[in-house]
Amino acid sequence: MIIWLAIFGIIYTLLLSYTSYIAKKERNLDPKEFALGGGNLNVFLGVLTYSATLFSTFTLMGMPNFFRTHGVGAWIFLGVTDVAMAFLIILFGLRIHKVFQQRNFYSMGSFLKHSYQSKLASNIFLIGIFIFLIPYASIQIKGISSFLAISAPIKLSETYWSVVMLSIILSYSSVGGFKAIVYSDAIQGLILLAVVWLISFACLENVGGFGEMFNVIKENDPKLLSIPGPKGLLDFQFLFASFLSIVIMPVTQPQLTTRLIAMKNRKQLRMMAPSVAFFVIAVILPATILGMYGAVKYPTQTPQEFWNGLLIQDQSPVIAALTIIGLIAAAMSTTDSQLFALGNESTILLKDDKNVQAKTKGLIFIFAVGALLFSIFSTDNLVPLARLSFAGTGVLAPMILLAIFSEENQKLGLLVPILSLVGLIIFIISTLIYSKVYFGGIRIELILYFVLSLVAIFTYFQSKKKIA
Amino acid sequence: MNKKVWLFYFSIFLVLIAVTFSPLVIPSGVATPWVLGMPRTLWAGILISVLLAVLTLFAAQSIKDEE
Repeated sequence: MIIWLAIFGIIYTLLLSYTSYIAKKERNLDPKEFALGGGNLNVFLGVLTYSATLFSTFTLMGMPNFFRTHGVGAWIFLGVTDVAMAFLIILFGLRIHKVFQQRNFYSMGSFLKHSYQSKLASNIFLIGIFIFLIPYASIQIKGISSFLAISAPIKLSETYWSVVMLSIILSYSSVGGFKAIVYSDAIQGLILLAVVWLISFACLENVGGFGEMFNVIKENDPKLLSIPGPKGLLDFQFLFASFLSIVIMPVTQPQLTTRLIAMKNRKQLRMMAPSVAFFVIAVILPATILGMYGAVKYPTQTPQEFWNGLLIQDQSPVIAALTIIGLIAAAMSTTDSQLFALGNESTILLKDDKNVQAKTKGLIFIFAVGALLFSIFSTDNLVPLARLSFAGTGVLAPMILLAIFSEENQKLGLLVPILSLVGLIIFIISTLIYSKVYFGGIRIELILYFVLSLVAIFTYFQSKKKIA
Repeated sequence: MNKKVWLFYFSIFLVLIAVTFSPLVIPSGVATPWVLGMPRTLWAGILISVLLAVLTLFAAQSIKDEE
């Protein structure tokens, strides 16, 4: 396996270096160019960079483990929800692209500051994404590092692997900016797709086919075959709250918003949406097979034992080597986008426009160190932590959507930003500090989404009436 | 954007989502009927996802947006 690993590793490194070089050559000193890569992404690059940013280590690790633990209901949480999000790219994406282009913005923070005529809105957005994106970025690093510490032929500790991964990310993103990240995402997205299908075919062969796999599960643990699953997690409220949190990710997670704004034109953006939808199915379908395979072959093992067996021990040396490279690629493609988005959004805090690129790189470095520190202390529960990130940033959605769908001359006031801040504080205190998920039998994020949305809709019509 | 066309596709989208979160797709503790060797929530969920993807394709193609 070591020889194959060396071969794939060299090919991948060469491709990454080449794309960084191309991106650097295409780049000029315009900060907008650095942040959006010139805003000229076509459908092909758009789909791959969006999908590679969306799907990370949890495609090969978190998703299969989630299916193995909670059963087929995970398809609703991951499959249906992500395709629905792709549909809503048409609604949210076209509007964001239009208003950002017309009003000349390239970061959500500065757009919110302008829309609400107050720094408060942009600061609340920044607080939200700092709190929920750094942990999200760090779990990618955590996932791949803990896997490599056990499974890679080169024996390094988790922390060392984390440092290696972040160093590579910082190198190519600082050389080529957003464009380098987009090119590397394209490579990483294709590797991920190839690897997840190769492994799923091998797994199906191993268990005697699709029907046989479910027959074994029916005998061993039938609760995996319906909701809420063996642990009772996937009930209606969990699935519905997750749906709402995830479908609005194109506006609440800046690493995804950036990709919508960076599309060449709205026609390219429109056609990107169905391509993302089909890509989602093409990725989650084999991930489901991997999870169900795990339920048959590794029902009681720890996540690390499951991943090691599924991705390395049960595969041929060629596929195992390609899987390791695919996992590294997947982790990097999400983390680099998140760190870059955090750095880009934080430029609003800068006092002047001098050396914006250098300062953005400095901010990205700071966030990378933050993600590294968090990854050392976080758990291996990748999907629940990712979901917490989606739910947390989801609280900001009504404030963002109100700004996006309002006209420039509408006076939006500060009620929605202030209530969003209160909502964030309630969510953080209840979920992170007290681990309390329900209030009066209803999930807290559902209550917050409902109340904030009502206030945002009311504000929209009130402000519209004033200018009529 | 042609509002009528968009509203038509958006209505279908809402119906598909309503069906997804109904007992038709996610009945608690029920795996039957099986189709192609898959339990109900899985095959129905995959079917909904494919329908949503096709709907996204039609919706994207039908919208004429001004540039």
